[in-house]
Amino acid sequence: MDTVSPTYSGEMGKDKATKLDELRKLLLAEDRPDRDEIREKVSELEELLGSREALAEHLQPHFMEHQEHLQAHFPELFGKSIASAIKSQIRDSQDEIIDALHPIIGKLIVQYVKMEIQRISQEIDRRLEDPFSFKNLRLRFKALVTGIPYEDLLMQDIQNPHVEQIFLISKDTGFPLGTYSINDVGQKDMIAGMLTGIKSFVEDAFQTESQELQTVSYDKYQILLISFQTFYFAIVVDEIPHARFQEKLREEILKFCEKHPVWTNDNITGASQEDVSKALKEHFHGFNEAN
Amino acid sequence: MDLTKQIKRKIALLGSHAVGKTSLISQFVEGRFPEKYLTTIGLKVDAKKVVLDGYELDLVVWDIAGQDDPTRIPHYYLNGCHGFIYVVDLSRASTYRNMEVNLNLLQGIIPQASRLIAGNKVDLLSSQELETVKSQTPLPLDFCTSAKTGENVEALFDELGRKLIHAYETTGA
Repeated sequence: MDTVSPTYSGEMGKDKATKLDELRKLLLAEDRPDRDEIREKVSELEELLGSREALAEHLQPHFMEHQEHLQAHFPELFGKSIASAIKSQIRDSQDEIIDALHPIIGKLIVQYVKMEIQRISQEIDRRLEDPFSFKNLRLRFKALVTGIPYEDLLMQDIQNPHVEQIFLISKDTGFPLGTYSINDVGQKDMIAGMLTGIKSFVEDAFQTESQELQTVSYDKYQILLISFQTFYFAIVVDEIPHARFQEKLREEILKFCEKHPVWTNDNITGASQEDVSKALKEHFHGFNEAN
Repeated sequence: MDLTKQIKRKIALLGSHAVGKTSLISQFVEGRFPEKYLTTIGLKVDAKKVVLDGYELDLVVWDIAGQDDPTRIPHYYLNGCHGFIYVVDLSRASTYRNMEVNLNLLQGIIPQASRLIAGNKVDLLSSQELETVKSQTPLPLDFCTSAKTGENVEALFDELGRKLIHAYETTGA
């Protein structure tokens, strides 16, 4: 601390000044070490603040500690603010986001639509190549009777689900008791076994005592599973079957079981696979055309 | 006129993990040994027709994922099973140590099923080691097989086929 000395004139004044000076020295003697210490600390601080490297070295541990704390508690500290910021950003930049995603999603949609159009176009070509087929004549007759344009009926027919294969499978062994297929199917034993394994696994895994697995989907096919006490039907359908189609299919299955009661009890394994397959063919061969 | 009788039978391969059940089936059905080991998840079903003793036998082979404890095998995998092969790994004592207990448990689950015991991976043992292992198994092995070399694989399935035919002829099951 700086002190201001009073001024005096003459000998007496000099004497007084000397005494006062001595008094001041005496009074302030005790504070001198503290002052020196403070001066030294101030000097150190000035040096620290003046040197970038020294300051960085001094603050580094504190920064590190703070950084670690932020990392550890980031979600609690900033989660809400960031979520809110992202929400606002998405809301305010919908057009930009759509622009960014459009090329990716657009390509997928275009590809899918292309494939579907190609499939329908191929099917139409196939139908038109044979205008006097039973299917086409039936549609033309239907168009004449109902008044619905032939083209509309044709499109409707192309997109209709079709039964591709029917398996009648023993729940116990997983053996196919009979099969009917539009196209030749190999490895019927394997297919029936795996379907039984999958069906049983799902029903067991979800502990569904009274409920049973009803459909399995893959690509554009669906396998409808219709269960009875000792056996079940697995029906492979091309395209997704709508409710009306499924209902008609179930009706036909029930009719089949009524028509062949000997096969709808435990003795079904007694009937040879060929007999059951023949009966399935007789019963279902006109199903697609009729629906 | 074809006088061959046709019967279809469901058989299963059972035993601990990695004893070679899938490889035995692969060797039997496709005549090849899969070099890469892939553990069976859940189940795989294969089929093979075998002509044996005047019968055309359609074998539907259920390859069930390995289980040390047979009671943990989902019961529906074993439903209607006509026969099974219990497979042990001759190079791992842990796979045959509890053989007797496990086979008794299986007998309770599928009492009607014919059975065979196969000691697989015989190619990994010298003849002296094989004799030692044979003396240590709680029950005698019906066949010592190698899915890798094909040794005794066909004989194993043929023997099970004969047992199935015998059961069919005697009990109709």
